[in-house]
Amino acid sequence: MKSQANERRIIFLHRQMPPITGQEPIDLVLTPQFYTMKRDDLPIRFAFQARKLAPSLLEEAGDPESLHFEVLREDEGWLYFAYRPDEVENFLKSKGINPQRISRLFFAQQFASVLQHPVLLSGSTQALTLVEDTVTILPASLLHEQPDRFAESLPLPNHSFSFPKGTSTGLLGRKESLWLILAAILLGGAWLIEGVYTANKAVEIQDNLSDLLEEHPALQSGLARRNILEKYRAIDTHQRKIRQKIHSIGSLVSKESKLKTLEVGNQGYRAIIEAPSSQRSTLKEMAKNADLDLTEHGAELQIKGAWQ
Amino acid sequence: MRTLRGIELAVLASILFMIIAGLYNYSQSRRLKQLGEEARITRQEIRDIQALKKLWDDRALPQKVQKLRSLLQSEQLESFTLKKRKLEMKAHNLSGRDLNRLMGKLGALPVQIRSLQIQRSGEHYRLECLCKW
Repeated sequence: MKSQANERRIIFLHRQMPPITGQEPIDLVLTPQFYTMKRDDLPIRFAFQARKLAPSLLEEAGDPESLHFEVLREDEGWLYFAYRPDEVENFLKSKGINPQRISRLFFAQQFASVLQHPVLLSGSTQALTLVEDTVTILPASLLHEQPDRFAESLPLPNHSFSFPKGTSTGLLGRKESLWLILAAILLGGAWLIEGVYTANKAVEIQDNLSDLLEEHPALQSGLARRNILEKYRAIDTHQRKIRQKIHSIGSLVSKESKLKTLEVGNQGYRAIIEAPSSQRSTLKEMAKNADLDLTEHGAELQIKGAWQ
Repeated sequence: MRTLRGIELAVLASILFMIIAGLYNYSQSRRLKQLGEEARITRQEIRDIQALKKLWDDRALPQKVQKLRSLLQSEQLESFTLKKRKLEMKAHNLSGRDLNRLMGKLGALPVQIRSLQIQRSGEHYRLECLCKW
């Protein structure tokens, strides 16, 4: 037996127990109210063999599907336990205890060797006592020897069990977990299929691009393409500008307003138009609309500008 | 610490699978988007280069430039030198109509006008032009 000092909180599960608060892990002891026990002296060597036999030995405990079985060696034989995990869970919940807090599980029968005197169950008038080597719950008032200490003071047995918690997965129940698994697999599968489809499409685009570049070997490099484009775009823009300006200047020329000179060079352009005074304001307006910089010098109108 | 049980492991594994599949899908979508954009830009660049080259690097341009000569009478043409993708043209005694016709044709030709000088004396014009392509 281990000392209880520095151990987790120990809770003896019985029907009259009061609600318990807190979130820390607990060690749970099932009292006979929550399990069915049977002794058997069959010559069985290993626990797994005994566990296989448990459902048939504990048939009277109920539907084996809803039961959980445990076995424990006792002298020359075995102790067989059966309990309903969902019943324990529901009871724990009704007392404000989250089943996930259960760290270790014990059966009250495991305390038989240290139960020379009855012990009281906290929050109740009942006591845990030994009747013919079997731990039993009895009203304390019926006992010859009045218990003077609580069950929690008993030292814990060495051997513990795990609570199956088969009906829930912490935050989610089993059903919810299965739905979550299904949803995750479906969504993941859909994404995977979409990803593969997208990858194939990307390969297709890559192939088309490669074919296109193979048709134009000189344009395979992006840098080369941009350099060529820059060169031709500069020419295109500049030459369109020249033609636009020549056209605009040409539109100012008429029978009355005559072109005297026009010079177009690398830096800019200059034109002189001779126009009668009656025409000048109209020409000025036209020049302004055509974005030409026009200045008046006597009878001459000078237009000049630079290529930017 | 509590150990994970089968169903919890299955939930974790399925969520992990979903996350990995999601990341794979996302990375492929991004790749497709990038490739699509790259392909679009490349195609556009090639189309633009072809169009600009066709315009400004026309192999048949020397023949087209010769047509300028036909717009003028021989005595109006001072010089018409065509060599190494360059045209140097000098013309004089051009009427306003000749000048208009010549400028219209020159403007329509995809040559790079490097310099252009037009001088009027009396009712006639003198034109000097240097073009290349």
